[in-house]
Order: sequence, then C-alpha cells, then structure tokens
Amino acid sequence: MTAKHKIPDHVASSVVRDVDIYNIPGGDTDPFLAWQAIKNSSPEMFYTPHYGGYWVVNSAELYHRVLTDTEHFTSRKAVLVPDMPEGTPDFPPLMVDAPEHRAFRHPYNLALSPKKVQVFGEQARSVIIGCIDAIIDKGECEFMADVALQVPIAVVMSLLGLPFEDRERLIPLVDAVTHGDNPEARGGAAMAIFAYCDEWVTKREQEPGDDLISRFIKIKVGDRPATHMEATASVTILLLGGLDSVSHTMAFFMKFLAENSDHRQQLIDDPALIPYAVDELLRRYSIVSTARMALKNIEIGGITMRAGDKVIVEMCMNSMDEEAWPDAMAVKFDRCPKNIPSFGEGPHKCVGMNLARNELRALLEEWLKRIPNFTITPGKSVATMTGQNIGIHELPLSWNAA
Amino acid sequence: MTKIVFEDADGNRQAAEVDAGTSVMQAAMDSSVAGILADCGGGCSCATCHCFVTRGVFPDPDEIESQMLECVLEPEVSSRLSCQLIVREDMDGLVIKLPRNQI
Repeated sequence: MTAKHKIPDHVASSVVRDVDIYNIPGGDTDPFLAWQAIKNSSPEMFYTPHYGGYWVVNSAELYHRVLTDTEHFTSRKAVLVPDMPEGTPDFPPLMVDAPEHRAFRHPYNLALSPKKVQVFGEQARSVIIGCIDAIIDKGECEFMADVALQVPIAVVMSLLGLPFEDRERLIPLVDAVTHGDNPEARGGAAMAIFAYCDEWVTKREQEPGDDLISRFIKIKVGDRPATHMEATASVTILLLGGLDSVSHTMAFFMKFLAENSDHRQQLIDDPALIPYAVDELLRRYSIVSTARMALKNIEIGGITMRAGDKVIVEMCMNSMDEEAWPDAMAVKFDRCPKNIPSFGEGPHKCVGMNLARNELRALLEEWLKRIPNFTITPGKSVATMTGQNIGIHELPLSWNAA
Repeated sequence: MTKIVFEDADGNRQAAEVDAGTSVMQAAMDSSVAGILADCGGGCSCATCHCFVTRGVFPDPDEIESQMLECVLEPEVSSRLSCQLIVREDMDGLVIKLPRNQI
C-alpha cells in the first residue's frame, strides 16, 4: 500500500476520494465497471492522495480542456503515474512541450503517416494470419501470449528497423512497464528498455542509415542537434507507446466478442461494419491514461488547481460519460462515434492512432473469417487489472476446431 | 462571412459560411464535412485534412507542411493540408476539392 500524502490546504475534503489507479476495487474482474463506480460517486474533478496526490478528471468536457489547454497544462514531469524517479530526464516527444515538441514529434508524424500505416497495417495482417495458423487446429489459445503480444511488436520493430529476434527480450519488459507488480518493477523494466534503445542509438550513430532511429539522431531542436539521450528517449517512447496499448485493446475486443455472440454475428454477416466496430469498441474500451501538471493556478471543474498540481486524465472517464455518449456502456456498431477518447487530444494525441486502427481492423477481419464462433474457455475466468493502462492478464479462448 | 465550397471525390458539393481568419480545416469541421478527418486538430501533424486547391490562392506551404504532404494517400500538385489554409474575405466562392480517402 503506497504511503499517502497529506491533503494540500487548497483541496476541500469533499472532493477527496481514496482512489489508487493500480488498485481500483473490482478492477480485477471488470475495470470499466470499477471505474464507473468511482465516476458515479465522485465530483467532476476529484482528488486522490495516492502517489503524491493527483486530481482526476471525471468528464468528457474536462478531458478536452486539460488535454488541449497547453497554456495551463504541461507534459513535463507529469505524464507517468507515479512519476519517474527524481532526476530522470523528460522523454521526448511525450514529456516535452512546444516549441521543442514539434522537432521530436515530426519524424514520428512522417513515419506513421496515412501512406505508411497502410503498409504496416498489412504487415500486422500477415503476423495475425500466422498467429491464427499456429492455433486454429488446437481449438483454444491464450490470446494475449498467442496473438496480442505478438502483433504490435512485429510492426514496431519493423518501423524502427530493429531485429525481429529481439522481440523475445522486449515482450516481457514492455508488459512489465505498465503491468509490473509495483513501481520498482515497472521503473526497472522502463530502464531496461531504455538501455536496449541506447545500444541501438549508439550503433546507428556509428553507422547511420535511412531508418527511423537514424532520423531521430538527426533531429534539430531549434539550432542545436538532439542529444543522444533525447534520441534514445524518442525510440523508447515509440516502443512503449505502440505495444502494450494495442495488445490489451485487442484483448478487450476479443473478450467482448467472445461474450457477445449477437455483435459477433453482425460482423460475420457484414464485414464492412468492422471499421465502425473498431471505433465503437475503442470508444467503449478506452484503456489508456495520461497525466499533466498545472503550470499556473486555474479554476476548473468546480475546484482551484494550483500551479504544480498534477491531474490524471483517464480516457475511460470520457468514454463512460453519459452526456457525451448516451447509453455509454452499450456497444452499438451504428453509433459511429466521432472524436473517440481512446487516443487523447491536443498536441500529444496518439501518433499511432491510425496504425492501431489498422491493426485492430486486421485482427477482426482475419479472426472472424476463420474462427467466427468462439467463447471464453469454459471453466476459466479472465483476470483484468487497472493501472496507468487498463489491461487483461490472460484471455483463454476456445472454439470448435474443424 | 465568406462562402467556401467543399467538393467531394464524387463531385457532391457542400457550402460553408466561414469567418475570415478561420482555417479551411476548421470550416470543414464546423460544417461536418465528411471528407476531412483532422485527427490532430490542426497541428500539421497527421496529414488527414488533405485537400486540393489551385496553387497561388494561399501562401505556399512551409517546410513542415511540404514534408507532411508527401505522406498523404492521393498526392497531387494541388495538394495542401487544410489546417494550414487561412480563409480570407476575398475568397468568396472558393472551391476546395477533397480526396476520396484520408486514411
């Protein structure tokens, strides 16, 4: 149990809630219902004393405001909950504000442009087909290990020009960063990934190519070149951003479809619905969270935030907002949601959003073609978890092997 | 107010009344024009607000926009990112053509 800090003077006791994002009651069976219970019993902006104290956004409206008001909210020393140890540098581009942010973000934008994500999406499709080939005759699988953890990493390794065989080393580390048992485990995993990226930045500095890592090394931040650390951090962020979130989103999609045969049948009957289903399932199962720090005092959501206060933006607090999404807990493939909250908003909006969508679409298309009817393996339950990202430990699925 | 006409890939037109100083992208968003996605909200980061407009109507693209324009799905000489195009009063009736797909 993490030590709590005393409540600051400017925080009214009426807005305080004992919410540990890594231990939400009920989060091990249904993290969204667990967060919804908090949503329904908390004000629009509430305060948790855990991890040094954070405000928590509890509406779609405040989600928009915090993520787009870059005058009041910074990503420096703020995005991870809890924060990295004192003295850890800010990792660009995620933890960097304008004007430097653009310099780091631009190579990502080019690398994950509409043109490029089509190519990577097809690569993901091949990997998915390979994963399905390996399991289809068994009539069962553990979806996380057998599919979800295999797909995004293949794409990201390819994107970064890294050797495919290194994924064996990286998969458990990436999983530990967001889902490790304690801050030390998570921090240790992040540093191990950083060390791996550091090796490759050094290699590319010595022998540059036209790969993405070489392009990060060549970044100019105003008049100065990016430092070795900044290039390494940029690679690390891409590795971390594109993996865990996609894998666990895939798992929540498959869990939903395993448990909802009507919805599954809609997609089997009309595969053209799949892109719309992807967006609605992303909307319903928004697993990511981020955080910001107030740069100046601000009146927001009925409270006063002081400069230096931190605020958690939990994407699902937008996606379960009934005002923004009537009947929010229902999955409706004809909802066609606009501005889905899953990818954030503002300058740090997920650069891989369309890559993620392509991977998710490929998953549903290929899986439903070959394994249209499947369930959670009888007798098994699905353990879930909360944290910086919501997740699924294991997803046992079964079907009738032909 | 300045009238901007959005024309989709099938030739269907939709007019928008726009305040000068608004970006073409924002005008499309405000009028729910389907052919513009604008994932990044106007930051010249996503290349999903792609449009076609005669060269010379707007100031030429800067370095960032030029590089992003190489990333769109159906590039043409007249390609621009609409978030970088600021409407002026003298553009009344300007036609902005849209690609079939942004992603």
